[in-house]
Amino acid sequence: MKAAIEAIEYYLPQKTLTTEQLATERPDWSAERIDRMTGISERHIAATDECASDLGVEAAHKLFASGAIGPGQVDYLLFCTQSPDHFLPTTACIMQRRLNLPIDVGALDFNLGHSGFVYGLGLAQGLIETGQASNVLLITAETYSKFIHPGDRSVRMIFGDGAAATLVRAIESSDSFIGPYVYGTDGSGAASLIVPAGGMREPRTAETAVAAIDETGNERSRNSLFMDGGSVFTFTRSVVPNAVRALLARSGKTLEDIDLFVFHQANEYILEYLRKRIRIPSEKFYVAMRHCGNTVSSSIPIALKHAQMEGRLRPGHTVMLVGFGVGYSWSGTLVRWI
Amino acid sequence: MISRDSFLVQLDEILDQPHGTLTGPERLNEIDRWDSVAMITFLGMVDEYFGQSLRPSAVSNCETVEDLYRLATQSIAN
Repeated sequence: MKAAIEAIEYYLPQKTLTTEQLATERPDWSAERIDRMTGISERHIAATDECASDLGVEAAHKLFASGAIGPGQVDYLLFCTQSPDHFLPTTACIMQRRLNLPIDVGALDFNLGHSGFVYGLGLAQGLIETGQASNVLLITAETYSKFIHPGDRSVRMIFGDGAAATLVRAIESSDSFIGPYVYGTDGSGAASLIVPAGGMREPRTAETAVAAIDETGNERSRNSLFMDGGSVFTFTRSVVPNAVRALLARSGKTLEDIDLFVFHQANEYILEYLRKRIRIPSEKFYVAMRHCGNTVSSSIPIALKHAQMEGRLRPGHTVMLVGFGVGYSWSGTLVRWI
Repeated sequence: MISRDSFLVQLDEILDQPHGTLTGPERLNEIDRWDSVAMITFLGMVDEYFGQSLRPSAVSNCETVEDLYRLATQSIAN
């Protein structure tokens, strides 16, 4: 039995934050500039009482409604998020009940961001091809908006909330549909994209909530998301081309053998920079983030869904997925679309 | 590699201002739009036009537009 991606659905919260709305908040926040730099027209923002798990449940309901699978057939739930409901219990356990999954499912959370979807595929494939599961529900969901200070333009213009539900299913086949993989981790980049306070290392206090304006004019507290854009860009421009090369070498393929490239949808400027650097033809490089922004671990599955809907991704196609970001963490794989 | 004039034009575009606005002595901390977005775009521009992968810390140490140009060209000169 081999693992294959059978279906994807996604869910975005109702409230939106448009680029025009962002631009009206400060005179130096030009809508045209934000649009040009990010390629994003609107981001979806979770409601105050809406958690990542809520978004994930909605995405899963859409998947069930599509007829791809019923809740009773799921035998493993993987939930990728950096915004759990609680420190404990595991949010996936709570989602088991909310989704009416059988009691004999396996369920776990894993904490990854932008690389999370490909890591999730690897986990799902491992479960399936070792006979531990047949129908893995991989849910990615994030609400970075809840970590972002309203005065921090550097992250506010980029990130949007959202969730995706992907069915990875066991298929009778001698040929693989997913793989090979490349993985990478560099903890020296931990401080480049971080919410410093709120975990066990630095609990929240009155002091951590005090906001200050940094030298770039962005405001945040230690309870807020901080991103060193320059360092993250430096990491990205080094790691991603190398990951692509390693993946091609490992698979014995060339760039020309790949039908579509779907990278983590960081922002349009960085994606175009990577495309040119790796010399990927523009017609093979898929971008779909204008309507939702950078949705962290859901950005790749959302883009895949759109590519499929638009006919850019068809059965038999080989698509390269590369996720990269917070950690630093990165991952890449090839998927043969069914 | 592009000329100094073209470098200044590229930087004007990054900062969303008319070509010819920057001439060199401008202090970066007095340019409102010299922010994290501009920094990233600048890193990419130098990579593309000068073949240099600058460290963000080196860019942060620049005080003027002229400093940025010197930084972009110094590795080539060396």
